[in-house]
Amino acid sequence: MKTEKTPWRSPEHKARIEAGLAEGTREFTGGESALSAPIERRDLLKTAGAMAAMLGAASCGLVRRPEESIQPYSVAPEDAAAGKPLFYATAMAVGEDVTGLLVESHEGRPTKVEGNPLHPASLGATSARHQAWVLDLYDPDRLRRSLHEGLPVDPSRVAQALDDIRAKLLPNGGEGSALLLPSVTSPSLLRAVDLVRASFPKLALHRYEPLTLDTAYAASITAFGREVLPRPEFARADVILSCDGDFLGSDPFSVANTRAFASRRDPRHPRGMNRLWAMEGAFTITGAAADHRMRVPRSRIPAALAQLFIALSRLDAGVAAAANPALAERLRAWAAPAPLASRELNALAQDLLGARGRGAVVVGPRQGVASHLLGTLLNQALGNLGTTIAHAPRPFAGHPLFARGPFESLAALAASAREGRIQTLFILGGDPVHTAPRDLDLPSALKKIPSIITLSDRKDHTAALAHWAIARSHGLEGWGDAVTVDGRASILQPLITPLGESFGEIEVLTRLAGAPAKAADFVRRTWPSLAAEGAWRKALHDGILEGEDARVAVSFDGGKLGAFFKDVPPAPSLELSLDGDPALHDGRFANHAWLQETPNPISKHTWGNALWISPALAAKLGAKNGEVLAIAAATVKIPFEAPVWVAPGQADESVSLTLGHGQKTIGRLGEGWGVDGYALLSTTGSFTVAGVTLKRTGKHVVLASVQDHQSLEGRDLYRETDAAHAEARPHTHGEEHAPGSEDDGLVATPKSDAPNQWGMVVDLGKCTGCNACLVGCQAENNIPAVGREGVLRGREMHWIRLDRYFTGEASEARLVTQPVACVQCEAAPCEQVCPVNATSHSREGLSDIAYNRCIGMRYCANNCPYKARRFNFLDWHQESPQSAPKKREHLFDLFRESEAPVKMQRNPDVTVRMRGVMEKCTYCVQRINAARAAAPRDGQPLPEGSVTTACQQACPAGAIEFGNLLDPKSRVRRLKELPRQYALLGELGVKPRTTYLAAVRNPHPDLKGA
Amino acid sequence: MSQAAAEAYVDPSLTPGELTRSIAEPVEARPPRWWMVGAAGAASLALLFVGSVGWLFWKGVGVWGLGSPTFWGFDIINMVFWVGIAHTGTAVTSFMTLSRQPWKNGINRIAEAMTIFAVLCAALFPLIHVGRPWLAYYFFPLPNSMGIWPNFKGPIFADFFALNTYLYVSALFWYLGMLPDLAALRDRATNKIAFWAYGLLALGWRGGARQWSQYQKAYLLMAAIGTPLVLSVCAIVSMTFAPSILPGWHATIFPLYFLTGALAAGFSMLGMLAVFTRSFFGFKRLITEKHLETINKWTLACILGVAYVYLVEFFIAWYSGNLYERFTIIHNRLGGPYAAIYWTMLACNVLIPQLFWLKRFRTRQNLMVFVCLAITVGMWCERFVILVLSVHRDFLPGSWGMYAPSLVEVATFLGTIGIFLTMFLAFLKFLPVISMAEVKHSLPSSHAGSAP
Repeated sequence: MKTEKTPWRSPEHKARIEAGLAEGTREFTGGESALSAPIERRDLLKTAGAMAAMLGAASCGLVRRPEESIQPYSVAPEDAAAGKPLFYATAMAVGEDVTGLLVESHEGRPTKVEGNPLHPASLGATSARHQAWVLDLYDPDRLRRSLHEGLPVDPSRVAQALDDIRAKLLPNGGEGSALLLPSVTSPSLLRAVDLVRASFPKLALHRYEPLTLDTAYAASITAFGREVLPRPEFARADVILSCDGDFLGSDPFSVANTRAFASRRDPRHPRGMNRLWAMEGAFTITGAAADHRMRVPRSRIPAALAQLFIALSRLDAGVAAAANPALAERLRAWAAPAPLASRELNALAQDLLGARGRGAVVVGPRQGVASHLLGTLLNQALGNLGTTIAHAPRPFAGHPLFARGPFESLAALAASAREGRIQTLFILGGDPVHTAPRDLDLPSALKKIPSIITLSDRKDHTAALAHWAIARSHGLEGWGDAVTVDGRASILQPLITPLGESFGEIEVLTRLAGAPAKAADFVRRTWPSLAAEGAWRKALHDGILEGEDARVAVSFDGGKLGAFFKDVPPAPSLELSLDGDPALHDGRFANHAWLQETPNPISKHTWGNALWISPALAAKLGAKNGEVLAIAAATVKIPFEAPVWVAPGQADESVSLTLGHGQKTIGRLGEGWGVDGYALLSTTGSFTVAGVTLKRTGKHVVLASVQDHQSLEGRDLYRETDAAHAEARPHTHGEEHAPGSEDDGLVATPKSDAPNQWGMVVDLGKCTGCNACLVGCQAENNIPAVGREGVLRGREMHWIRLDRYFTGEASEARLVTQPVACVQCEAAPCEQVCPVNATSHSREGLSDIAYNRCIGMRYCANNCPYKARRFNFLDWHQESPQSAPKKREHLFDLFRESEAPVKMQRNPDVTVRMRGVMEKCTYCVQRINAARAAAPRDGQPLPEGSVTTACQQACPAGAIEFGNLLDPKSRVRRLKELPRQYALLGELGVKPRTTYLAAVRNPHPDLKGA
Repeated sequence: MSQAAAEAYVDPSLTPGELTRSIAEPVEARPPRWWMVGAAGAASLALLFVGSVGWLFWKGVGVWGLGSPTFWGFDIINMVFWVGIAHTGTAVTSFMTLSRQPWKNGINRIAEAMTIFAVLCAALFPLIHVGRPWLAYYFFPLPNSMGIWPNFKGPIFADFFALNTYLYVSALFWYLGMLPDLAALRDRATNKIAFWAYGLLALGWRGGARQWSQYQKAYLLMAAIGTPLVLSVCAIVSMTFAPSILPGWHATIFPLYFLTGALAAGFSMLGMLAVFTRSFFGFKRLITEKHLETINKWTLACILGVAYVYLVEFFIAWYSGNLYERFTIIHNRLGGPYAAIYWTMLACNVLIPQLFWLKRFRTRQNLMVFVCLAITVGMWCERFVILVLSVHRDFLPGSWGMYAPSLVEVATFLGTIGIFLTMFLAFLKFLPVISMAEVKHSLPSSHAGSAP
């Protein structure tokens, strides 16, 4: 560039140019002209080479684009706005319990279940099982393809096989064929069954499901001459006696029951508070909610009811008149030895008499006919029938399917099979091989059947025995309908086409009937009233058909009762009582990570069950938690062992076990944990084993409990009061502390002028501890399950947990439950210690976490006095027992999500957290933000009710209230002003935004202080 | 400086030449067999650290035994343990330099080496224990596109700077003190590599009067900087815990608690290393029994401070009337599930050190190593008590839990011991273990011409 012709400005300049010190024509020397300067060949090649090298580097891994092609919405579905969820009404049946639901769908993926406010069994709330239903859809262990002799086959071959079977059966009218159904709630299904029967008149109908309401129906035939179900109206009952049941928890209709019951756990209710008495052998959440709980073993409940009747007859001639002298005489024999202490008995009798026509005696579904009859007798004598106890006729009553009880029906099926009278068996759902009483030895009977066709969710025990296991569609994948026991009907609509090549019941049955129909058309034809498009659309939209609950007037005939009480029951012995699991029900939810990890509300165990024994019995045996006991009884043929949990409040003459655990084949989750209680179930349909002996084996099992310590340690954490003092300062179980000072102390409370200041109140008196909030939060906030090992290490991720404490003596313990999530402290200790400012306060009073900024130092969690923070110790989405691991894409692929389909459940509005990041309750900030986005104007308070947190929405008791504290009319603000409101650990001065209402109890005046 | 006092610590018959030879020869000679075996063992242990941390990074913090409510376990226990040991080195040199304590000359080099290696071991833990270690640089106040700075008000930020400052100043102090000796090694070097290496390190030290004068000023200055640093780093590490809300951490006595504990831990470790060095190298004439006895007296003094703090903790827990405080400090420590660790701590930190009142225990090597080892174990238990016993049963009994380390955690801790020993053995081999220049000052021959 430097040439001889370079012009110079001065002799000095010229000298410098010649010395090579100055540029010639350039006025400035800072490189300003570099771009305009001519480029040399070498520079060009250098630059081009560098670019090529960088491009090469980029294309070999630095830029990662998906290899698969993607497709845009070329034609957008109607009403769908990308990013906005749609809600569809449908319903879910668990046994005979049908609950209307609204299911949230994001771009065609069902992600979350909410209750349907229009449905009487939901009223907007749900249970833990409903919340968990959506993950069931995405279970990787579900049958994707049907199996023939254990090998996957195409759906066309299934259809062909059904046609072949039909052709084979047609000539002889279905001789030698049988159909086994679980509980039926669907009129369309029954219509399809009838179509099949029309083709094959000789088809034998059987039904089996272990946990049903059949004893109540059986008792009603004796009492009223027809099949009706007593339907207690808990909202109207002032005094309730629950006898060995869990109407707030595991029993059917618990959602609506809890809502009605909890509405009366309010001292300001115009009709006053109700009073709940409970008699039970093993603690249930109903017993925990009771004002008085009496420990009565299951087999002694009839005696207790007889004793109560006698006590009532002594007090009141009207009651005595309900039973003829012969019956009264027999009941006296039944009542010995008396299970109830006289002090409690008298108070209970007085209470029930004082609430004539306003009381309810509720008998649990695991009780025998005798107890149901006695319950009815008591309700009749107390004038409760027709006032607080309505009666609903059995849906589909008179259908031949219900000619026999489930256990009789299954026994008959097994007998026929053994005699070789069945050649073809259709099993339509359920897993009868697992749930059948073991002494029936169903597998050996089924092996005599040459052709078994089962419709199965998974490769379960039944599918393993069947020749054809047809993949069954999930309830969210197909059309259907369902009626509640009260006769209210809903249409079930699919939210997604089947993820696998699966079939619905209706498709299979109509094919078998020779008239293959689309389920949607078939269902619609079942309901002539929905023929009109408008009516059909409204039914789909509302999720419930118009109508009233079916109620019948019944007339009680006490005369016939005597026959039932002829034989005095055997002398009491140590009993073992079985019941459905609060989470897994009869075992159908065993392959479900959320429900396996849902702590039992009483024992707080996850991933397995244990034999509950009373502290006194444990002391007698010398057994400790986790020790394995051998269980023997006259009726138990197979040696049976179970780990033990010393259960405070357990009746001394009773040990109990829940069903549904310990399955061997159900999937990647069900195996290995817990023990299978069905081994103890007997063909008689009794859920009680009498004359049990227990022996120590010296073996030990570690029980995966989420809570190791169960005493309040004299601390002022859980407060309660009674109805009479609800407006005064509540009583505490511990040493009371001065409330925290109002001044700011060392750490200033962030001041904000934001128009919304969020806060929450939890009414401890309403909370039953049912876990609906816990699973609802898990579904909403993409919270992973951590598995048994994770629980043992204390790494559960639940953002809301239910702390459970026992108070009082170990034997007569009372149980209190306290939901704890992040309380969003205004002076949050977690925020002060974060080294990187990853957690800080929002203007609306939320303690936020910026996941991107969190390095996982965990001081915040140490410093959280509520221990509400949860840490991703591992990549839970990979380590989660339910998700199939996704392969590592490159060495630094540190965030490895779970493989489809489990990740299809994720809520797209909530970040999925990677390993090494802290997380906690956010007050469902995504819902707050959605409400803010939908609000007409910015900077204004959001209207009351526009934000509902997931826990609040799921809660059937209405125990959780959330809203804007600045709004003087908001419900949360009004509750905060109640005198029984208090801040948990308020004395620490952290100023929690979530506070509690002391539980209000309503003890009987004669038993106060007991 | 009292000449008599200084002379009492070294064998007066030593000549400067003998002294230089005896210190420099181990550096120049081929390493002895015990060194080779020891170094191989220590390096293998250090490899255990590499392996266990590799697994940690691959899988996540879940490979440790942590969970709710103990979100910290061996990671922070061992960090505090090493930080504690680290305090004494700089304390010995800087306090003793300022207060003209001539006895420190024999052992200050070892003490400082111990400090630096222990701080390095301690510094490993905060970096590896975070959930996302590849983002640990968020600790640094670096400008970033997120516009977020570290939490300047938070205790960890101060901790981070305190530890770093301490590490740098200690290392500089150590190096500065070594300059004349490095020059001596350079001058004695018989091969090229040693000549160049020590020559580079010696920074052109010639030993002229002017150099000596400036050197001593600089050394005094470093001592003056180091002294408050020892106090501040102690206080600030303790302030990692004290600003929390947890009973057992939230205490104003923590700076004193950590200072006394750290000095006691450091002096006892120093005692062990001094015994180790003099036995293996035969430095018995340089590190005399008098040195050991003085170290042990210091240990005893610090132990009394520790015992006082334990007592005050109990008193305040009772006197405060605070339910949680009372439970954590009194009930859960004395009778909780980890009571065995607490009682071990009391026995090792309070009871056994009382043996130092007996001269036999202060001067006999075997006996004093027993006591020093007990204190080291006791101090580790103290870290465990402070960390785990405060968090595992805090406010809500429903969230109480237990903590047990996983094998990976134990391996990581053993690995840091390996790293420490590897570095210490390397120090023994490659650097002058005793300050030749300073010891020569204490020799009678160096004062031959001066007036008595």
